[in-house]
Amino acid sequence: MNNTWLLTWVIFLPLIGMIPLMVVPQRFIRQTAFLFTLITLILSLWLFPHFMGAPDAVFGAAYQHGFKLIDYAPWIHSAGFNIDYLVGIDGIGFPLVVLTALISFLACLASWNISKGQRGYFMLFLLLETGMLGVFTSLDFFLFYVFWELTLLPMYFLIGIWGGPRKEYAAIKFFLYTLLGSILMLIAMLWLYFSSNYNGEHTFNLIYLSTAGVLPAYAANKTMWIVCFGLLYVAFAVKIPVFPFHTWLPDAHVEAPTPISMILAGLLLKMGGYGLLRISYPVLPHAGAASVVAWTLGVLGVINIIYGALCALAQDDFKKMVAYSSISHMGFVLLGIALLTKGGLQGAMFQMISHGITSAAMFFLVGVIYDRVHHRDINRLGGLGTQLPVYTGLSIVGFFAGMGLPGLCGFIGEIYVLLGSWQATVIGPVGAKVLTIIAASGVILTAGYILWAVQRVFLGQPKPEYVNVPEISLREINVMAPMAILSILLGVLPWQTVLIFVYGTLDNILKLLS
Amino acid sequence: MIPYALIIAWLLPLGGFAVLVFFGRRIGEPGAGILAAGLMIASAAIALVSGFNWLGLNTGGATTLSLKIPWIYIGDQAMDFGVRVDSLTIVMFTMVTVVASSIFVYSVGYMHGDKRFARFFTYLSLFGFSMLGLVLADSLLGLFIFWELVGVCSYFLIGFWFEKQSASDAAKKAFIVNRVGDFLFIVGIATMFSMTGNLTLEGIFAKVREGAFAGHDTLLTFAGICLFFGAVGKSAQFPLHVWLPDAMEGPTPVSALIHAATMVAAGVYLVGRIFPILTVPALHFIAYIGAITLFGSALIAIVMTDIKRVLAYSTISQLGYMILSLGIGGWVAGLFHLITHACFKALLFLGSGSVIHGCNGEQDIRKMGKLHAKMPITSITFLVATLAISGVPFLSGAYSKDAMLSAMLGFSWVHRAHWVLFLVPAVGAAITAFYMMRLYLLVFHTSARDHHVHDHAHESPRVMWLPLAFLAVLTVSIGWFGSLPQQHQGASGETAVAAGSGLIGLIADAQPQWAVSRQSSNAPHGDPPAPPPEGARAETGAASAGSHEGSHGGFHLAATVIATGAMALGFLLAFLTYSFGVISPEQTTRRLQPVYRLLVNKFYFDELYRATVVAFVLKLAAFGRWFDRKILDGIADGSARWVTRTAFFSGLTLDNKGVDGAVNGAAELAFASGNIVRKGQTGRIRTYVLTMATLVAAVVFYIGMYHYIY
Repeated sequence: MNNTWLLTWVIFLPLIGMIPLMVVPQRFIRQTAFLFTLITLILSLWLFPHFMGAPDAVFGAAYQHGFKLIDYAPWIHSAGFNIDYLVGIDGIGFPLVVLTALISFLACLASWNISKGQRGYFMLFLLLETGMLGVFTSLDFFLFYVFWELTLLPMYFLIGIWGGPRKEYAAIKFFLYTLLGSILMLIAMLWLYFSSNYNGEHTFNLIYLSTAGVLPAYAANKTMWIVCFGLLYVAFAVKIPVFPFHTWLPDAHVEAPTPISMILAGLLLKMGGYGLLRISYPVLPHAGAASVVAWTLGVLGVINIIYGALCALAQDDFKKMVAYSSISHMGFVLLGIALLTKGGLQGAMFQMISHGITSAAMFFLVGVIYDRVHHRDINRLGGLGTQLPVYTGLSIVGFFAGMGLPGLCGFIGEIYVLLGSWQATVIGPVGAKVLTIIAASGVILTAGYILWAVQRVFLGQPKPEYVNVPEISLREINVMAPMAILSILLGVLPWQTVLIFVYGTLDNILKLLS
Repeated sequence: MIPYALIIAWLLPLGGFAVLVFFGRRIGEPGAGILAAGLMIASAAIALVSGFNWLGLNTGGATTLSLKIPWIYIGDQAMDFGVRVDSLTIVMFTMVTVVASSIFVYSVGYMHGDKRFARFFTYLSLFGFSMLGLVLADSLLGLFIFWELVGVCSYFLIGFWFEKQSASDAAKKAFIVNRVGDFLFIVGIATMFSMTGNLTLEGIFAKVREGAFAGHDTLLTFAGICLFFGAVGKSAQFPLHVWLPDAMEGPTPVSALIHAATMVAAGVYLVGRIFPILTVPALHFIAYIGAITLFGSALIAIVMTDIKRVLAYSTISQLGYMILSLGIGGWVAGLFHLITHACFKALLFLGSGSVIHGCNGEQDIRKMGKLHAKMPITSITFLVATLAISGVPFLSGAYSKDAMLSAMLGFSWVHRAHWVLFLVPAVGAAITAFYMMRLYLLVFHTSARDHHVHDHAHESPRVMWLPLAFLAVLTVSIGWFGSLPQQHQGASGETAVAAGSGLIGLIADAQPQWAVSRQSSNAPHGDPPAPPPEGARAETGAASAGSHEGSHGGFHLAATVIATGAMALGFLLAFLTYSFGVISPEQTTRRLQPVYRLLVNKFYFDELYRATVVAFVLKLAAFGRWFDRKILDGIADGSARWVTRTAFFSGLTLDNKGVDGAVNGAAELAFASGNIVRKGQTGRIRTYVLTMATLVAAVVFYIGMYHYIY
């Protein structure tokens, strides 16, 4: 094993940052946290060279060969357990690691006006970043589980302490829902571990587990495969979140402070989609290819798209509307994955990245106006276009990217998923077309709730009570500008910026299923 | 060279947009307008030069130049960013840049003094870029991308005066109604992509020709109709026409450029481009949609009293003509009318803008009258356009309208069951002449009904009337010297094609040489009465229909006579009603009260949609919200309460505590988790965080040491 430790540095740098945070004087807390998220971001960009080059060299001949920058250290090898510290990235981990570093950095900058308990806030913030980076890089199931749980606690406290009026309810709801999923994941994990046989030993190693012959054959153990898939699915579905496990999300978002909402929507939800792509499908490929599974997940994905959009349409709370729009957009991720086509998977992966950017942007934009007027009632806002032209311009980019306007990143994910799922064979040609048509009709509802909100917030006569509302500050522009630029860049050059690093791994995952 | 030149011409407005979006407010008035207009004029110049180069290059055959830049892969399928240039592209590109140039110049005068002057030209530049991209695109995906971009520019510009509730409502309505069409457009794209594995137009046609849809005729019809629905939205065809009249809330130059000349014609352009894959049933569907649209909106135009709304309904009606023409196979005629219509309708809108400008914002024609003396240039140019749209011979509109009508006559002559498809446009021609002459007379002649308006009316400044004059020259002349490519037997027996001339000839060069509908054995759609020789392009129904000296001159002559007669009838009625007072409009209105109300209320479509679709979606949304709050959260909260109660019960029996203890225990359980957090607030955060950090650090340290030791 030639450990480069580069990835390990990326993962644990934020954690290391907690140590100076404990001791630095009060006035340097923000700067210290900022510095560590910045270094993490720069270091994560160091991963890029490893994903440049010929497809075979980058992605490997098979899924199992595609991992780069693997760091390995034995961890717990007693009491019959084989648990290792094993991290590495491939085409689906890499963009999410960079996204995590980026959004965390921007969210840290957006946290500048957190005044209460700064030291605790930024320590938890950094701990959360390490947890997420760990999830996106772990190749040992046990380690994955540890990191998965590690994200839970800081998030619980960040919502529960720094949140809004109903923060306790929201924090506990978030915690219990995720915990429910975690427990099911734990069961599935142990079940898979004790069923596995790699050279005569049980293994948590996700690369080994995805190798044919390590788990008992599908044909003779259908129940185990499908049940394990179902258990894992619930764990990930809570995070995505998929109907009917989604109701924690609006509450959590409404109560969470702005930067935490950015992280929650931009990154934490991606852990669900990532889990499906990293664990469910590679480890249990034949279960994923079963038509009952594809039907269930596909239908739920479509329900997410439509139901989320309808609920968004009915909200008066600006932040809640954005939260439901996340549910709708993540439906495309689930649909794209469930129907198992190349285009669909590419679209799902792209949607995760683009939604990471646009949802963080939208939550940030809502936060900016909330900081100024101290409420989020869409019907009470209005006429901001005249008073805050710069803020309005940036908002238009953010919201229209979310709406899926071509030229901005939201469009690419949606059109890929729709074109891909139309061709799906796993649920029969007619089923695929029906699901796709219903999903596509979501574009009308999306335009409906976004434009209606834009009209009520930005257009119309300027209201006297908002005459003295200050324009977006330079710091806030600095948070928003990278997201706006990336929205455009990813929308114009989706292949060159994201998909080129991704497609080979997705193709390899599909090969496991055939 | 031509594709590169056009790409440069295409990017110029984008450059203008980029500059204006950042520095627009600093550049201010009139700099921003001059910059945008200058760049657009440069584009137009490049387009014209390219056009003349093209004429030199084009020798009768259908030449296509293309240029591809690698862009994306969908699945394994490469989707290049491609530019495709044929003579239709050249014509469209030139039309858009030339018309846009004159409208940009006009806008410098029209938008004078607006507080968002620079912003206006920012949006206009972005629109120019998007519209030209749409014209250049070589694939359905490319078309769709720019399709949406012109849509969003239209949204910004309709809602340009967004302080007005009606403007922001109209903008939102336009975008959402268009999205309904776009939704089906996407479905159509997906169908084509799955069946042909391709999204470039050339690729799709080749695959369809090879039989990609063999045995799936219905699917191909379905795909064609879905794609057509994109056009239904954008070109404001029935039943998605409701957004265009409201779109008149935008500044008048926007109505002229986007909602008359270019963007709304994009739907017609799309149908023209996808024509080869449209099956016979799909074409029938298209034709009838066009017929319904042209007739219904022409009727509404009669009773409208807002000068811009009359023109809006007229636009819808004229677009219906084009769609109908394409639907019956009159490809050349339909697209020819697209170009001539762009000129005279832009002129009409700019003229109406000049009137509104001169009357200080008044739009109600009942308050105008006798403005001819006050604004002679506007009046004369408006009259030219009125005559052109009505089909007065030797004006551009007459050539294209005659071409369309003769195609329709030829079609319904062969397909007698579809006789309506000639009757409706013929009657429509009379109605068009009537409502246009009514508009002209009420605005510029008859009596001055509101003296306040009349006294203050004045001619517009030169920066505004120069574009009017320029467009008037185009309106008169662009139809001249046109002839279709002619096919004749050479001396040795082979067929030779003589190049066509003029605008119609140039358009005819781009006519698809192969189409699904022409392969159909049972219904030779759009074919001329005599079966054409194999592969003879000039002999197809479309070409013959538009032909001036073709072998089916009989149809053409008959159609010209009928069209001219209809026009004369319309004019006569208008003069009798509004000039000579022989027919009293009030009396007629009273006598036809139910019909009048139906028309004034635009057949109640807005009300119908609001009561059905909109209400249904809002109800559904409210239901979703209720379901989320009450049912799903109810289950979650309920089970949480149930767990708490169970814990309370077991605590009671197991620990055998007293009732007091149990009550306390229940309370504690219910709020225990909340307490953790609440205590955390009061100073224990640090403890928690430090504990957690220490634990994590210990684990990391342990791993590190482990690795170091072994």
